Amino acid sequence: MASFNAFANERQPVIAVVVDGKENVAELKFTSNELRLFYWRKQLFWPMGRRIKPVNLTAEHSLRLQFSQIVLGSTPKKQIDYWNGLYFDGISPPYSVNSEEAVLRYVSQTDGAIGYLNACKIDHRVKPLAWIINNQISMSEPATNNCDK
Amino acid sequence: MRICSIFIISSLALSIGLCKPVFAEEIPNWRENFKLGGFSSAGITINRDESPEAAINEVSLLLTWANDSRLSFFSELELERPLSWGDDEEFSRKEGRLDLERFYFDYNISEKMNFRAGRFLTPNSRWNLLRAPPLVWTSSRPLATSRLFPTRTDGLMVHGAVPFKNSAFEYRLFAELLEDQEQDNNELQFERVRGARFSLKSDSDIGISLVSFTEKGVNEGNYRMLGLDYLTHFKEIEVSAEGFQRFDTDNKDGGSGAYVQTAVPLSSVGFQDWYWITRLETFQRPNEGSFERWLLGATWRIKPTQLLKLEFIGGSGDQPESPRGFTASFALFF
Repeated sequence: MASFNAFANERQPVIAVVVDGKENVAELKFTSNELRLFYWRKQLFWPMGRRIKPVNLTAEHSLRLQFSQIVLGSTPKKQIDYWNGLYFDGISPPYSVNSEEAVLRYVSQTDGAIGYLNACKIDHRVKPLAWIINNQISMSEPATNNCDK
Repeated sequence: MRICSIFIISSLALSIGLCKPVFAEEIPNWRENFKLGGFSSAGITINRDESPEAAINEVSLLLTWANDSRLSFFSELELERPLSWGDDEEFSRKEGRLDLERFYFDYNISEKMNFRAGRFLTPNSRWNLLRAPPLVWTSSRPLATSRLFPTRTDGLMVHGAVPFKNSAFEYRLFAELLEDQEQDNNELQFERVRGARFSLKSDSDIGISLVSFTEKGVNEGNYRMLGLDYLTHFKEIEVSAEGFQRFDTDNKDGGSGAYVQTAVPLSSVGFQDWYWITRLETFQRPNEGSFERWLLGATWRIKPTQLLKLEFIGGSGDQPESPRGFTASFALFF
């Protein structure tokens, strides 16, 4: 069992949580628990009063499953009741896109957006503010993103 | 009938207007900040003591507006029982009634605090906040969640969420400013409503509500009420419960009620997306006596937004809002 977990962790990509590359990141600091509230849509505004626009990958995407399990503690399928409840109050779940390139475009072109993708696919359009590594949310940059694997 | 026609025509006009296709070259305009949705339910009831009846129970439109500012708007416009079949054994629109269930503006003060003004669901019960038919397992509503406190309030609210360990701590403080101008003779009347609700969302959801209000009518008087609610999952089985206790000005019992409900998935016995529902209720109000209800039913989640519900209700005492017998209904979000 231990060897299986070690293998699973080794194979799991490092996920970077990113905002627009032009943002002043000092204004967008958040904790791991606040990241949960962003994606549960319980906290809708950044400190300066701009709307938080979280973006998800589609429900079947492996990174979405990994992000959802670690950040929100459940799979997208288990969250259906929750999102139906918020729909009743006029609040939509985070916007979903099909690919990591679409995440890069959405985050870099949408005011107040936040998204996530494989840390190896980050480019100049976005800035990482948090990482998901070894099944945990980290606010400090990991020593390696395992990009050469 | 005229109200029904106006509602249907204006709903269609609004839908067409708001759902106009957007082309890439178009300049964004104010209409893009609107979102329109809704829900509906229809069902048949075979009462133990009355004639069978069938009805479209409601058609509700949910309209939201939000742009990049701190201000947003939400409304729920409900057409109650636009079509029904009952004693006279023919379909009728005479019970149709238009009702503005919710209508409020939200203003963001800080990332952890928002200000709400308008008509909103009184946040003193989990069921009351999620009372839409596609969100609840049963067609019937527990008596304790509708006959002990005002279900909606016209006033102000401060609300928000803050992180608490690995969960979200939510608060809502509210006060009535304006009495409901549309008095329905069948509804209990309340005034001077104020209170608070605190809830914690984690693996289990826990809520506590404190409310004070004046009830008019037979049980006229000032009351304070404590409410507790809980929802958890145990091996895929959903268990939920709520309890309410009212106190009058002498700190004596002013009415109480509670229910406990389970939803057990039947996939292990070959019924994919079917759930077995069991509920036990107790309820008592001054001058009305006490009532017990039991409910056994099965609910099929056809799609995430569609439910088919079949249920038998029994128990003691007659309560028009909780008839004993069999009910089947279908509910959906659109």
